[in-house]
Order: sequence, then C-alpha cells, then structure tokens
Amino acid sequence: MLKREIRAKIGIFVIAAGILYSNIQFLALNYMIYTDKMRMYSDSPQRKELVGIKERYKLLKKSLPEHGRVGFITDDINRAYNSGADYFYAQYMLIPVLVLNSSKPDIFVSRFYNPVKPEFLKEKKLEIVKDFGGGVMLLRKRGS
Amino acid sequence: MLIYSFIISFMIGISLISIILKERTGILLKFTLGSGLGLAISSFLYFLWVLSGADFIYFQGFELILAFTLLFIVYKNNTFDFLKKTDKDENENYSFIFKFFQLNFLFSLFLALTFFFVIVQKYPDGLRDAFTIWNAHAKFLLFGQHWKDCLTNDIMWFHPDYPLLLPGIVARGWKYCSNTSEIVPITLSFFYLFGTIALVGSAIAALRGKFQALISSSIILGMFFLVGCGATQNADLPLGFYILSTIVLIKLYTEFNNKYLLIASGMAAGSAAWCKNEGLLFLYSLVAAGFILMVFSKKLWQNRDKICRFIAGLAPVLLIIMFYKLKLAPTNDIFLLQTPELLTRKLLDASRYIIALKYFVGSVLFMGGFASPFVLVLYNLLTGFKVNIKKDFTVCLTFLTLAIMLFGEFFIYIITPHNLEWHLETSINRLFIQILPVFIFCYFLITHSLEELLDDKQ
Repeated sequence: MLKREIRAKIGIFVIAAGILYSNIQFLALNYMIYTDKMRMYSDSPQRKELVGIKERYKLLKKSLPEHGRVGFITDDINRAYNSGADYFYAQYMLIPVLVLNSSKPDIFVSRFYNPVKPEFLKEKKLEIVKDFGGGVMLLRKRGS
Repeated sequence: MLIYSFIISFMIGISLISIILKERTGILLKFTLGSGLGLAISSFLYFLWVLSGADFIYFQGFELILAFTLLFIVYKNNTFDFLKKTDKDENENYSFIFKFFQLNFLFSLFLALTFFFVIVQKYPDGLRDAFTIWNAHAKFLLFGQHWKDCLTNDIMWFHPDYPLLLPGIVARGWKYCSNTSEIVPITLSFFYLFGTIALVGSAIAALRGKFQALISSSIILGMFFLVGCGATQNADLPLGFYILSTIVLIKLYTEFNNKYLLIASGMAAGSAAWCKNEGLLFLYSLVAAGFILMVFSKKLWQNRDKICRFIAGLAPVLLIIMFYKLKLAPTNDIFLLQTPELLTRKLLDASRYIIALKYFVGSVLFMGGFASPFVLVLYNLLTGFKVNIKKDFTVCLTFLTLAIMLFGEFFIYIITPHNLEWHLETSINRLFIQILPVFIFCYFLITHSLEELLDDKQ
C-alpha cells in the first residue's frame, strides 16, 4: 500500500494531466471550428448561411397582418425542417404571426430552394402575392 | 439600456443575498448567487406585468423602487462585505502546485472565452432550441396583447408549454432596449455560463479552500460541450445554475445555520422549476429526497420550521408556475401524444430500456467533453474523501435528488412518443449538462483538499 503522501502526489498529477488533456482537446477544437475545418452543430445554419434570408422575412412581415395564422410551404421538406431550419427561422422572424405546418390557412409563406414551377403552384392551388427573392414568397390560396 | 436593465436585476438579487447571507463568504459567491436570483426575480415580475397589461413605465418604476429599497436595507444593516476577506483567503498557500493550477485555470478560462465568442460569432441566434423555444417565446412576450397566441399545440415544435424564466428575462431586456437585438440573449448566456463556473469555484473556495476551487472550476471549463451549450443559448445551463444555487444555499445553511438561506434556497429551486420542465422534475426530486432522508433519520417533525422556510421561498414562485401550467399552457407533447395502450407497450418493451441505458452510460462517460470521468474516480481513490452520511445532509440530499431525477428522466425517454434514438441523441448530453455543475460541486465538497493533504504531511 502506497503512503498517503505519495498517493496524494499521484492524485494531483492525475487531475493535472486530466485538465491539461482537456485543454489541449479544447485548443484543437477552437482552431478547427474557427477555421471552419469542423462543424460542431451540423443541423443549424451559421450566420453566413442566413445572409439575406432574415432580412427577407423581415420585409415579408410588413405584408402580413399584425397577428394571426399563416401556413408554410417548401419544395424541400428535409432542408426546410432539418438541415436548414428555415421553417423555424420563418416562425421566429414572423412572430407574433403563427406559422403553421399545415395547409389550412389561406395565406402562406414559402422557402423554395429551386425555381418555382407554375405546375407546382397549380397543383397546390396557390398564387404568388409577392416575391421577396431567395425563395421567400408570400402566397395565397386561389380564390381566397 | 441593456446595461441598465442588467444592473437593476443584479442590484435586486445581490442586495437580497447580502441581506440574507451576512456571513463572510467572499464577493464572488454573493455576486453570482445574487445576480442569478435577481434575474429570476425580474423574470417573474415581467411575467406578472405582462399578465397585468399595465404600462411598462409602472414595471420600470416598481423594479427601480425595489432595487433601491433593498440597497437601502443593505446600507442600513451594513451587510455589504465587498472588501472583506474570507477566513480561507487569509490562509492562502502559494506553493508551486497552487501556482501551476492557477496558470492552468487561466489557460482554461482563456480557451472557454475564445470558444464562447467563436460560437457566438457563427451562431448569433443560438441553436435551434434557443430561437425556436426561448427567444421565440420571448418575442411573443414582447408583443404584449398577442403573447397568448403562442400557447397552442398548433406549433408543437416550439414547445408552447415550456416555462418562461428565460423568455421573461430576454423579453424584459428587449423591452428596455426597445429592439430585439441578439445581444440580450448572448449577454444572458455569457452570464449563465461563466456565472455557473464562478458559482462552483466561489462556493468551493468558501467551503473547502482555493485549491479545490481552482481544480473544480478548471474541470468545468475543460468541458467543451458544456461551454458550447452555454454559448448556443440552450436553457440547460441556466437550469444547471439554479439547481446548483439551490444546493449551494442549502449547504451554506448547514454550514452557518442561517435559516434565512433556506428561503433563498426555496426561491432558487422555484427558479429552476420556472426555467425548464426538467426543473420541475428537479423540484419534485428534491422534495422527495428531503422527505426520504428526514423520515429515515426520524427528524421530519424536528425540521418542520426549516421546511416552512424553504416553502416560504418557493411558494410565490410555485403559485406563478401552477397558474401558468394549469390555466395557460397547453399539454406537453410527451403526454399529449400518448394512449394507455401505447404507454403499456413501451413500458414493457425491454429493447427500449437497453437503448436508453446505452445512451445514459455513454453520456456519463462523455462527461460534457472532459478528458474522462475516470480521472475523477482515480483522483478520489488516490487522495481519499470524507463523507459522513449522518452529518453531511447536503451531499446525501444532492446525490439522492440527482438519482431520483435521472430515474424520472430515464422513464420519460422510455415513454417518449418520438423516435427513441433521435430523442436520446438530441437531448441526453444536454440533460447531463444540467446536473454536472452540482455534481462537481458535491464531488469537491467530499474530496480531500490540497490544504488538508499538506497539513497531514506537516
């Protein structure tokens, strides 16, 4: 059995080594993330990927009523709800208007990633009210 | 106005803590405990103001009067001990080892600060939970009359039932600034991240000495996932802060026998419950653990006045939470999407237990990104620890509370209506972030300090 003094010294060495290891790991992580060699949060868009989009939603908000409910439409569900989080950004930017993941409302906001085909709009029975660019549009149901 | 809004909150909390905690415990401990409580009080007041529908000038006036009244009481009682040193400070030991750990701590702090600003620069709105739950709710609270529109499960992914401590503070900051600048939630996340580390360090310094404080803070600073969680504006760290504050205040009560600390502890526990739904689970677990320990030690009746003091601090907050949960908030998605048949099937499915257990063990081993939890186990085995189950009420209470809490969380995962692996993957590590600060605090309470080891050698 080791003497208490020696055990204490080894203990302090172990904890110092643990902290040093964590610091080195942290230093490497800092460098990798700062230089974009690694992406820590893959399912959240970074500031540079949102350039323009937030401003477009801000402009769109001015065309909406003060409060109420609108629908959300996209041509890439996976991107809008997962990797790009655009649906969530749309809701965040348009508060206090509620952006529903539903086809019930008469007014819709969009985030299209590809040029919109007239057939797509015809199929969904929608018409464009205003195009804010970058796939952000205000649409309404035909005849509403 | 942003600085003003924070100063008012901090003044309320720090003055309150200075009135309650008269013992010499050091400036940093009072500052961190007080600031956190001050922010929580401001959040409650803001929520009550939103419910009242009154003009904002009345809210501002009330906060200002409250802050200066408390400050006046502090001045009259002469309980500001900003310049006083603690007994532990007077016994500073500047050995080589101490200086080495001091340097190590500064390096860890530098890395954490750098990481915080790198992440904030890349994700100024935080991660999805930040802008879809906390800051989204804050925006609704900001738009006065229509704020209740968000309390509907039609936007279920925005978790409309979640408590409003953080949204309240953010909305209040925005209201003071008259804009929705991202600086407000970023400043808050900075406070909760570095406040948590400062609270662990200052509480350990006051109770166990500076060396323990340096090691404990360095370990938390080395948890990159925890620092990232703070920088991305998740609510797990603020919840961790209030869980830690509750336990620190109970420990300070057992140390100084100042019963008013139990009132503050009740307030902190209530703040945890108003922060996240897991905070409510913490509150239930704390009450259950306290009850079990008191019944087993046959001291339930003896402790009735202490229980009453804790309840006195908790009650006002609990009333607000109950009103919000019972009258305003919709049903939580975990319970909304359930049927008795589904629940039974999930509870009887052994594979779900294995999957959940695998993730729980993985999270324990990950430990917020620290080198390895085995370092702590080894350190403890080598240097030794002291815990007296009969005497050290706080440590027993904490570990039992955490055990009940984890047990509850485990079963929430078992019955989750979402894909189990997805649910675990997206939340389990953050769940452990809520309890890591209080775990580290208790770990260093029972581990022998360098001062004790050096004394033994002498």
